[in-house]
Amino acid sequence: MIRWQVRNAKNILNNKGYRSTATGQMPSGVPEPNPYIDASLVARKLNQICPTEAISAYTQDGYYKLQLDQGKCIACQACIRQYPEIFQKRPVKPKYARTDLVSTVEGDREAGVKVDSPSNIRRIVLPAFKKSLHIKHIDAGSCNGCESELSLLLTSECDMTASGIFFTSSPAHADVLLVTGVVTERMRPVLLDAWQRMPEPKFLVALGACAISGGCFATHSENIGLSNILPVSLFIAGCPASPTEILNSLRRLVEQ
Amino acid sequence: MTNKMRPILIWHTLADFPSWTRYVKQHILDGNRIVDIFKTGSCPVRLIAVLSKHHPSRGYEVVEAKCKSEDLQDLLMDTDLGLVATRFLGALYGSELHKYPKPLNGVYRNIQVHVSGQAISKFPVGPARDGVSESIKFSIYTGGEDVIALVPEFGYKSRHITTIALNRDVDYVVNLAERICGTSVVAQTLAFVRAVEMALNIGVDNAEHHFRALLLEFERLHSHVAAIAKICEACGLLVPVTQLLSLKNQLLEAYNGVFGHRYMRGVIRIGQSQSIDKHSLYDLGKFITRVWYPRFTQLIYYLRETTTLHDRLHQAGTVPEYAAKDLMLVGPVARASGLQHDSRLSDLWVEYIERGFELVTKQGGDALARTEVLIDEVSASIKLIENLHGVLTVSQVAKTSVSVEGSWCQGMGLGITESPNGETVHYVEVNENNSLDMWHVRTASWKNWAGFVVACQGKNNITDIPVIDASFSLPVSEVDL
Repeated sequence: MIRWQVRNAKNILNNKGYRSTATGQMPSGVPEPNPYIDASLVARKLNQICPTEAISAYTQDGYYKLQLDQGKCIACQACIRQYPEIFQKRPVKPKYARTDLVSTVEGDREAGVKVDSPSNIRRIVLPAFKKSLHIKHIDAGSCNGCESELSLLLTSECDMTASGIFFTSSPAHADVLLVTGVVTERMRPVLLDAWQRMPEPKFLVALGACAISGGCFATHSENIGLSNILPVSLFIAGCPASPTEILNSLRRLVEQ
Repeated sequence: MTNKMRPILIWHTLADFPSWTRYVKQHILDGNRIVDIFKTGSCPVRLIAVLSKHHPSRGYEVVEAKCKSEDLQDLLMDTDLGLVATRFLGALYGSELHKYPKPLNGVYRNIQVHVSGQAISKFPVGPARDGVSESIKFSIYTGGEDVIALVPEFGYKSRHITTIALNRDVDYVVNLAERICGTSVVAQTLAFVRAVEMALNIGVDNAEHHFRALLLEFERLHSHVAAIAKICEACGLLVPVTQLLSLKNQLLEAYNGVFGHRYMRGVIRIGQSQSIDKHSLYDLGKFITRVWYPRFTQLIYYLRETTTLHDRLHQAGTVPEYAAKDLMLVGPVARASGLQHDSRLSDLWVEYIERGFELVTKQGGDALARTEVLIDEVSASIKLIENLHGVLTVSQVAKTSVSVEGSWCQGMGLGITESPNGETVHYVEVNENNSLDMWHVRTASWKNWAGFVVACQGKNNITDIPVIDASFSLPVSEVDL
């Protein structure tokens, strides 16, 4: 981990920018479990690490199972720091169903075997739009972190307009409703109103752990995840997701 | 600087409520500043005032007294203290302030919301606003082109953070503190962590204090650059917007590489922060001072040459010095109105003055002055980063805890930081199980929104509102906790 940090810092000095993986993106902090770990060795230790209970370890039919729900992950990095051999940062990829955000590793005492893989449902529907996409953004209760990252989509590095993606003021002009933050009680009617005013075809995108699952605010009865009130088409995990990850996810909705 | 000269925190418990009132009143009459007033508990209510002396080396005073709920009503109607008390204990932006008899300098009278008359139109805007913005509702009252009043309505995105935190372990609540506001993650977390460390009497290395101060400056850089970009966007200068945001992105990428998170979440923890490789930190400092800062200064040079920006910002949204003082504004907004205030001057944890801290102030109080303060504070932060780096490499590791004088109870703690938007105060009460009994958060934006209301009135055109909004750069999430 340290060596990786040093290498990146040196890359900055040499003005090369960061390149963490072969994908050429800087992962924003959401972990993925190593599919080849022995879940039995770590199952007992892991239940207490995660503040939002995104990680769960349990025994089922004699097999140890380790589950990580990226929709609940607030990128606190506690798991990555404590168990770097199990959890690694990977660039966030968009998911089309809430269950796709949950990855499970199953194992016995000898070796771990990955058993669950993300489903392919709804993927055939996309991309739904040709060449251009208009987005209406609504902050339903965010910390301003997702907004800060969304504003960076205008930079020359990302340049969302070059991909045919634009923000629009009116929901009547929008193809996609992009929601950030946990949905608070007072923002619920505002969201529903905007959704009703959007023309078909329309898609709902949940950006960030708060919008997907409520994150660490889900314990209050007035805060709920977006998928509890409206059908979400695309989930972008992260706390917050980086602009590159957001742009790459939104590009899935547009025919390039 | 010897330890005796360092700012200290004095904690008084006064015998009764009238003594508390007299003490606070005298403090104001002496021309000193009130940092915060809040209440805790019930039957009887404990009323706590955090006071600050003019001289930075004097630090802070916390004055508390027990009172009944009827006393609070009396306090709100008090001739001298009523307005100050209402400002902290009552309405957020002053919707009820007109009920009270004596404005300090006539400013409060202007924040009345009951605007009526012929040819006055009301425009409601929000809560879902244009582009990428936070949810807040504005009621704009106009008479023709001129803005007569602007009243913000909060509470749409209230996440009930302080309620969720109750009876939870303090280590868990650090995650909540990190998510109060995405653009002041370090400041909010640090204020909370400092408060908890004081409550639990946890000693922290001197090197650790300096490391945290360094993180604060890192955060100030990206936050100020984003604020300047927002101002340029409001003025229609799209080329510098993309370049400034690109500079911000470079910083965030660098932070991600060194700290593992773009906004430095997960780094500051109670007692000891996550260990960061010294060489990485050193390289990051070198990158910021030698690669990033020259790019920033070059861009600012061209920006200052752009006369359209100067003309657009000049005299837009003026907050006079007396208004800033009366409303107890903080941060760059207050400093742009000429107030010599920065909580780093009286910091209880780090000797900022010794580290070469320079206070940036401007006169005028308009959007141009606020922009100039933001720009100059980036340069001041760069200087501070260089000096703090020097201290961290020497590695002074003496264990220190904040010196508190007076009748101070174990389990109560106060944390103060200078966030990018200004002074942030966190007060906690921690029980023997390390769980939170009480958490009070007073953010800089909470105080500065009143300044925004004042700035929008007067000679401003309705099209000046986005420029004024950008020059204040106030996150709604710091108010809607």
